[in-house]
Amino acid sequence: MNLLKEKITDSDIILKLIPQRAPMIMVDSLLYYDAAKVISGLTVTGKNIFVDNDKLTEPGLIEHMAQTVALYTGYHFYINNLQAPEGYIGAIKGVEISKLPSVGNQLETEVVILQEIMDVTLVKGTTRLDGEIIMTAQMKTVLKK
Amino acid sequence: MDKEVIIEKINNFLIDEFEVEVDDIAPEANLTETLELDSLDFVDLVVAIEANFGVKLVGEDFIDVVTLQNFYDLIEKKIS
Repeated sequence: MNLLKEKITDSDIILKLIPQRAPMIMVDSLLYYDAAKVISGLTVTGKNIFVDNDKLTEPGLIEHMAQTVALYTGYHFYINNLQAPEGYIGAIKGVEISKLPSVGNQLETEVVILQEIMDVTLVKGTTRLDGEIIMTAQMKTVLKK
Repeated sequence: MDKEVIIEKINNFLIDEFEVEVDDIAPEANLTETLELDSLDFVDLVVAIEANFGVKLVGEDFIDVVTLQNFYDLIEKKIS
């Protein structure tokens, strides 16, 4: 069940949920949140530093998925009146990318939390473009101590 | 489940999934040093334990786990 009363699209609030700052912001909305799943959104703009030849590159897609995990953790901290923690990608496996989004495209990325233990979060992520799956991956993210 | 079966299952997935050398597996082996399991591997260890034994471990479970024997004992206690 979605614990959000409404989608969060205000960039000022999003900035409170993630530790990243411009030009490294790779999520612009929080669409769904519960204890085991989060869905983020991103509109690809021409100013995005991961865009090359009007396409969002593979590292950009991976960073977008990683920041979706950050959004999950950050929102949990936010509703507990804590500052969004810094973290990093610990490992990635099974990355499959079938299409690179273009400038103007709107992405939705769903991350399912598989395990959380000792500051490490193991997730399975799926990125969609107009409902079509364009990327899947399993990722471990680590909170910075 | 017999302790021998628990030990065999754990050893098998350490070898198959974590690329631990057979010769390194000994009850007194240190999980993080001898077996070279880092903090990222522990997540996979939790996943493997849940898949093989149906029990979910949390971080606190590992507080007193140093050696492989400690780990065998933890799993035996968890599933009993």
